[in-house]
Amino acid sequence: MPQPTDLLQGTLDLLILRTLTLEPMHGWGIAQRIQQVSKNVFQIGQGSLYPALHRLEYKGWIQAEWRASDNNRKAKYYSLTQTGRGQLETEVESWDRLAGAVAAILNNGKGAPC
Amino acid sequence: MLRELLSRFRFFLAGRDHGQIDEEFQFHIDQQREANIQAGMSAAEANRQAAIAFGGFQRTREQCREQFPRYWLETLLQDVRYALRGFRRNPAFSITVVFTLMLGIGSTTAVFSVIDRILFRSLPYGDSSRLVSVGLTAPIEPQEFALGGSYYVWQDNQKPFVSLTSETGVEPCDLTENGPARLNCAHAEANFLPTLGVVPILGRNFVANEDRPNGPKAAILTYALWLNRYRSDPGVVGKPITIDGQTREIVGVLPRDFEMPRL
Repeated sequence: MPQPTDLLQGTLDLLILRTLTLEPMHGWGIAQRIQQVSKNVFQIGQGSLYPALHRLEYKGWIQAEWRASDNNRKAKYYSLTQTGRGQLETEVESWDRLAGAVAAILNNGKGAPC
Repeated sequence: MLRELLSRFRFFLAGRDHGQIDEEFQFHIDQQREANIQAGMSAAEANRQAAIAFGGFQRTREQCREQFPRYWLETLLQDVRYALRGFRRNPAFSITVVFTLMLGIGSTTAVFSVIDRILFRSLPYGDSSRLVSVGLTAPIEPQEFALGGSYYVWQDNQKPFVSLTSETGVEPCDLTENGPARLNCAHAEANFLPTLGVVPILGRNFVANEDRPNGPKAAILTYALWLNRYRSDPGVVGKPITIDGQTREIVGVLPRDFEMPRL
């Protein structure tokens, strides 16, 4: 199994926002989903997950609601707000730009020498 | 954008409920435990592993609370309370501190209000770097002075200065008309204000004719007198004013920040 990767600050926000586009989820569900989808590359520690969730909630990008979970316990479900949707687009764009830039630097020199 | 602001405002007022955070975390741990049991762990081991996976409960709770500005306010209040308790515990020290600050701030303000004018503020005149005070000095009068007759000879024949002017010094005088008052008056020459680079904000400066011994009597008001007695009436120019029983014509008003030159 690959070593868990340290997440760049801001990347976690992006992952959370993206995960929440599917459906409202509680914290544990979000962590599980990110772990599964990333094939265990990202293991979100609660120490960063919950502060991030609360930060996003404070910013108004996601909203929280208490309701019954699958096993009939009260759980705090987070869902994306309209602002959050807009923000996700911006974050995805800037991520693409960043990833593209890093890729360009890494590939430089592999092709024709400068 | 509006939503974001509203959300922030709401959280600023409401803050965060401690119990809710705990409940949220507990739910997370329970979920993890269930998952562990389903993965085949014993109940005790599942509990243990879930707690390990979650990590520092207290620390995460703190970090969640730190996301809100109220946290900052709360810690500030805590610090203030702690400081005040410290003062009460040690009154002798507190009184000494307060007293020291009192003296320090008081004396600094007092000294600075004097020093400020002397050292830091430039003179409130046009070209203050070219202004000098000249004349005789004597132990009884620290400010330079000149004696009448010789002064006029000096003024007529001097070469070093572009302009040489004089005033008599500010002395008490009486406004002897309706609503009498004690004022401060000074006699100045027609070239006095131009030499200082001061222009009346209303009316005109004295003219050469008014300098002569039996010339027309004219007066220029200070801004404060104009404001208080004449309610800033722009029609004051040309009106008579009786000072020490002698009627003069008001010809102008000085600027608000005008000061007589003092050393």
